[in-house]
Amino acid sequence: MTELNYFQKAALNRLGDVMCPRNGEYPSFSDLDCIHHAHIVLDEIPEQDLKDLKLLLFALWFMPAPVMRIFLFALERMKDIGGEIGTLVRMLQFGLRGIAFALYYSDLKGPKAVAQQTPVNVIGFEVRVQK
Amino acid sequence: MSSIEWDLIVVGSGPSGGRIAADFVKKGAKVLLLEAGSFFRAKDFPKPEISSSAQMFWGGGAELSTDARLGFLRAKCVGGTSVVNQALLDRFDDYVWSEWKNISGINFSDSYIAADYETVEKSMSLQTIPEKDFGKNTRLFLKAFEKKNFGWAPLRRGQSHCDVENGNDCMACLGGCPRNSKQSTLVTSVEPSLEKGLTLIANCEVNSIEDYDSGVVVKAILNKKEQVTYKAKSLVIAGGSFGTSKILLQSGFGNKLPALGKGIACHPQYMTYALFNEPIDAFKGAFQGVKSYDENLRKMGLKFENVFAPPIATAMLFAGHGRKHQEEMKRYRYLASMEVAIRDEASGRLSVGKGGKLLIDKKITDQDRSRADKGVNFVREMYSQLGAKEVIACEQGFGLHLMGGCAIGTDEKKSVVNPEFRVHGTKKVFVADSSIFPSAPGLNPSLTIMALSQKAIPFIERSLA
Repeated sequence: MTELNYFQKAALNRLGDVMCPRNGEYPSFSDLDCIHHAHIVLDEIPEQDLKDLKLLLFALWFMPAPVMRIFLFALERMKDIGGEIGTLVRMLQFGLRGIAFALYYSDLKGPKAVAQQTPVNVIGFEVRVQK
Repeated sequence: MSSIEWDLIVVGSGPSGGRIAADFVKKGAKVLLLEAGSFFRAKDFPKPEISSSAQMFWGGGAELSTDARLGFLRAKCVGGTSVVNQALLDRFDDYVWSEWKNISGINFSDSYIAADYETVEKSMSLQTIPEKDFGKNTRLFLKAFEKKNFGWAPLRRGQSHCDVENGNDCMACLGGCPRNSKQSTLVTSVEPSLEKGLTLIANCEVNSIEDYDSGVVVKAILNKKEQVTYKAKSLVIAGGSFGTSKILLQSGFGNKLPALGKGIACHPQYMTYALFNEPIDAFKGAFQGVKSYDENLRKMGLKFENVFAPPIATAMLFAGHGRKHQEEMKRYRYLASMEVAIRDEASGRLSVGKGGKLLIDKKITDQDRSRADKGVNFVREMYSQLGAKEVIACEQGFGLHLMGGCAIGTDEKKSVVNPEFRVHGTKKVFVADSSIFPSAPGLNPSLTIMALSQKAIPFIERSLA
């Protein structure tokens, strides 16, 4: 099972809270303790991509939340530019949004969750199939 | 070559490989089926969405083009794409056959493949979605199409007992159908063949192959660590467009066959959501019931589908993040959606980078962009005419129908596979999956992949004799 270290977990929770804050009925990313399930995604990421992601999360640990907000805003604004910088921006954005949204909208909570309902409950998504 | 263990090795267990393997098991051959993904069945398909996405697709959910403008969804599990798609099974038309004939030099036509289509269609349960199962999203699609005077048709799906009227929601089956109603290759071919002697090895990623007069050698990595080698009289590579091309590139065939890895198409798809006052609950019931069926749209290279996406996928499709993004997601139940898929130019190219990483150089051409813009504008107009409060056109394009890379044809300089489905210059290596498509058909490819695989069977059989 792929584990993140203390710094990487802290950075992912901070990133998650910037992308998915506490907002009305919505719990924040860290309220859900959904990081407990990060291994579901991390276990399947190709080796080199995982190394890059861990390095990126470690770098993000040094970034306070307000700076992270500006960083994410800048990525959003720069995503349409061409060349290698544009490619890097889109890859960063896809990767960071991917892990944050996958966990936030997973309908999973961790053992330290303080939220009652998940974002999936908030949006009203429910499907069922009788086996 | 010493100690041949198998009559036939099949690499990849999707619509092509699973079907071919099952056929040769029926004929009494000793068949080894190798699959890079895991072996999930109805009782243990990964749920929820985060798990199915991570565990049943390459790249932990999605792969990106080298410029990161297109995402690709490529199944990685026993049964391949057929387990995670919507099982839409359409025949190709004259637009495709005439184009393929010109490109390949092969006499493609309805009559070329009619018998194979029939064989495949008879081998599974095909149902047309009845009007009583149309949900609100489908009914809005129909209203929009009728206002615009576009033609439509109900979908034909490979399914047997969805029991939608009793409250089953087909969206839950995107990560594998727990009822075994979806007619995936897993259900129709692989599982029945296991009882008849098929040997299946999952989590076995083939790296390279060697072709000799007396047989073939397949080298693979089992469970991400153990190197294994298998030998057989003949080999079918059915890893799909990306998988098959990668194996042949890693095996050095690119030096002899300049067309290898080229001509990649993917029917880029763009979702557009529309917000209404009433709940649509587009994720309930059959969730996809109809398609565009219109001569003019076909000529324009556009296909519209009445689909919807689960929460994580929708969150990824919506731009931005933060409170605004959350508010958009909160309207999930009130959203309708429609997708336009474009018949794209087969301009992509695959190569293998450092550490065996697959590099997908697939750019949206000017023609593709123009088609996508036209399609999205049609959807905007249609939803506006229906009184949508807001229309959200998603910028992120996705390729789900991955095609090309090993085009079939008569000319070794322009193709990889000959008219007998054998890789040029080999005696025992066959390919009949979507990698052999000479261009994008603009239609759902699954049924034709199975039919072409059916057509390949006599040639493979001859190689075993």
